Amino acid sequence: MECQNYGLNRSIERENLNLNPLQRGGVLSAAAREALYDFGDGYSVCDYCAGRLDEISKPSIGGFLEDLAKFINVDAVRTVHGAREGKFAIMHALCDNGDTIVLDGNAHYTSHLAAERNHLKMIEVPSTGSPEFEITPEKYQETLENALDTHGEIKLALLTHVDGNYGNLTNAKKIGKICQDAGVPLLLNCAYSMGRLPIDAKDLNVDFVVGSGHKSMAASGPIGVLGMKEEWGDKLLQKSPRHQKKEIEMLGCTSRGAPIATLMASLPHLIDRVSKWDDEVDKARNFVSQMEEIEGVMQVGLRPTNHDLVRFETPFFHEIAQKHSRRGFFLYEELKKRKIVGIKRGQTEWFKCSAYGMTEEQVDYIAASFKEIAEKSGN
Amino acid sequence: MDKNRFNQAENLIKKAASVENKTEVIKEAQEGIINVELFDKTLKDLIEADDFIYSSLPFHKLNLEESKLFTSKILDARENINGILSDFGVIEKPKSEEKISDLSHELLIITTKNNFKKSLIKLGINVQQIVVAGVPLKAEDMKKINPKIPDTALNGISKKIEHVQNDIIRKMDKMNLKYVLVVAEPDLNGNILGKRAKENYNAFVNLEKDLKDIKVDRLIELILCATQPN
Repeated sequence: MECQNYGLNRSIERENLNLNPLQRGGVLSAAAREALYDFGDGYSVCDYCAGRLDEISKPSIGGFLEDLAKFINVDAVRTVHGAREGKFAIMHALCDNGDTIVLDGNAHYTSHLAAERNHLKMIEVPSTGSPEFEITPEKYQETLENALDTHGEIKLALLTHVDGNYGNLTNAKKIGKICQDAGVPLLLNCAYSMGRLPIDAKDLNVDFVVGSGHKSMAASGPIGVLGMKEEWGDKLLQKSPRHQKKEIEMLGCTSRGAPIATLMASLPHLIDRVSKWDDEVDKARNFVSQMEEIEGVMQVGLRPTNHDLVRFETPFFHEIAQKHSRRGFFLYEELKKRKIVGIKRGQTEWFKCSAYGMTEEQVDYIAASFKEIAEKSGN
Repeated sequence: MDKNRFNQAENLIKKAASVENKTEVIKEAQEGIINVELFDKTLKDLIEADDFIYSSLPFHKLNLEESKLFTSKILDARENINGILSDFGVIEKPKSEEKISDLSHELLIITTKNNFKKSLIKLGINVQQIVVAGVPLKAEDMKKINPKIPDTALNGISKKIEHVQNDIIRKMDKMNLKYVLVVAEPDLNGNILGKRAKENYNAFVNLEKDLKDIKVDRLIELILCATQPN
């Protein structure tokens, strides 16, 4: 059998500034690239395994998990295949078919799928709507209390720490306290925060945190992080009666090979970069302010932004697209000429982007390019 | 190192490292063994250089400092590739080994680790001119390293120390070596060894990390520092 040409090559990240928020936090560190070379083979981390992935001593996965637990301040931590798998495992361990959970209105679609796969009903905390789309602690409290009144018991609440549409950073600490006082365990989805900004799960009053290695932790996918308070270990890390070393919710072993090796290699890099989070926020705000110098471009979501992911409404570019010979493709093509990618082809009415990890100079270049395109195409 | 000595060393390095500008002849490959360690190192040097591709987006222009770092990685990779090619007879063995051997003919090197001894040999140092001192050069120094060491253990170590000292003197006499260079990691052991070797043999002491990865140029620089005292 002759295989098709799969087009398996990718130079986009090496040749262009990529503004796609999904890509920014997953760019590998140099140490992770080296680890990728050493640990690319299937079961590469399993040479010295005695039956438990999290206890392997060479490479020291056990040591890594201890460090990772300190990094996010949780009592126990496991790697999983992604934040979504972490959410699914938590829901599966805590809830029964037909139970109801509370989650925020900006939750990622995988939070919904994890609940649906567990046959759970969902009550959503609405956001404030346009233009800020904020999830307020007050609304969260009101929704949670109503849900408790109606259903008697809510086994889990979920909060998206930073959502993927507006980059809104929620007040997790306050909402964590609300849930704690109500006796409802809280799961904080940190897919867009863990590895970008400091996470202290205990300080945030949360019972569980999940993170995404490929989205925000400079690791090859698929890999996620699941951290928890000690009291949940019995449920979530329960062992199989038949295969006594294996944890049921983890289906024995989770992420192996390149994903975990790259995450391990990147941890020192992550420790360093989260300490510079304030600089990233300043950079994002500077970017927003430069972009808003173009009339008809405005940031939506909380202002000033507290995250690198920013969403712009861009009626200015949309108007141009109506008359331009390349229609909606003009913006993508003009940016591509300037070696900037990550805005979807044909998208001109709004877009979200991130300059996370870029230099000030690169950010200025991107903003100047948008202005240049606006000037050139607007005339 | 003072500035004069540094300049002197720099000039000598340039002179020592100058290679006749011959056109390289690529020969047909012979049977050989892949040096896997060198191959891995080559790729990792290139991966480190790869980082500059990301940081210099979108036009990949590097400033002077970045250019130096980037090209040093590429040069390291090239040196490794040359080593691999020469193992298969595709190109001639690098001249640097001969150069190092010539420059170090009056030098004894004292080090603390066997893996560094291997690196020195690979770069062209005669094995007979290396002493691995797994212990300090004086018994009382052992107390500084481990204050709780029992006397019985200290007696055993004293014998080893005597053996190392005899080895140094024997090699210097027999091979007519005039200079001593200490190369060790910048830890307590390295510091104590260096201090004592300076006292006993007027050694030139160099303490630095990752010694097993030492490069030809750096080794030549150290040899010249040790053998060209003011």
